[in-house]
Amino acid sequence: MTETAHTLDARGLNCPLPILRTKKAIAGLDVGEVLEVTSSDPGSLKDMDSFCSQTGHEMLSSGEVDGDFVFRIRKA
Amino acid sequence: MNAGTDTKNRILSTARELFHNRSYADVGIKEICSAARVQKGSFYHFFPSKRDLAMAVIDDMAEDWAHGFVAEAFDRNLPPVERLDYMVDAAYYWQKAAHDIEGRMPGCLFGNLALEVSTRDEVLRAKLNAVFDKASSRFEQTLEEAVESGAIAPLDTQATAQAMLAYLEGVILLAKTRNDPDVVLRLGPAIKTLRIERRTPN
Repeated sequence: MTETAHTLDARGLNCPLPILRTKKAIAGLDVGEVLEVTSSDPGSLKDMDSFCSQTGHEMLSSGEVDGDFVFRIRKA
Repeated sequence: MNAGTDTKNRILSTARELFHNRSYADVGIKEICSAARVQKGSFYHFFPSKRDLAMAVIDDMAEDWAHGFVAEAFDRNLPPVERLDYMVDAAYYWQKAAHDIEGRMPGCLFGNLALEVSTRDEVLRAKLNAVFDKASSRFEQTLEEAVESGAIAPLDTQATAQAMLAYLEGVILLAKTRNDPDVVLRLGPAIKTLRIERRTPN
């Protein structure tokens, strides 16, 4: 089952903008809510992983979809 | 975009990358032209000298930053003190991304250039000083808002802003020397603890 997620379109932005936007978007969520981020920056793969391990948010899934990178992150 | 603008932008982005990853002195016009696939005559049409190119690179990068991550971090919608955390995050992720790709931390282009040219080129030094002043004023404005909102006790906002910029540049320099972006993550957040008191009148 896929949970309904808040979405953030960070396509066209380069590091570190996708991370800063993600941080802001997550700050506005309640604990347990899910944010789905779409980024076109290949560096996001590593960045989002380290963002989650530093902040404790849970990376539910990450992968490439139609040339973009899609991350589902649950707020801790 | 016309061909002239395209050529000029290609020179700028190539020079920016080479200056950043190596140094100003180490990279010559010949190398920049060849990496940017531009004839020397065309280079001199846009930039009479290497110093003119460096001035344009500094403007170009400062402009990019002002509208990019600096604007994002110093977002007026964020509580003032939190903006400092965003600035540290921006520095960390940016350095880390470059480190992931190149295996080396490039440091801050402005900091690198300031260290390299300040004793050699008065015009470039003054240019970089203006960039730092502008960066410092973003911190100062944030501190003023923080004081107004009662988030921090009154302090010398101008001196503290300069101390914060100096701290961030210093942390990036140390991280570069250790070639370890995690130094920024470990030390950076303490930027919020800096405060310089207002001088009491004698």
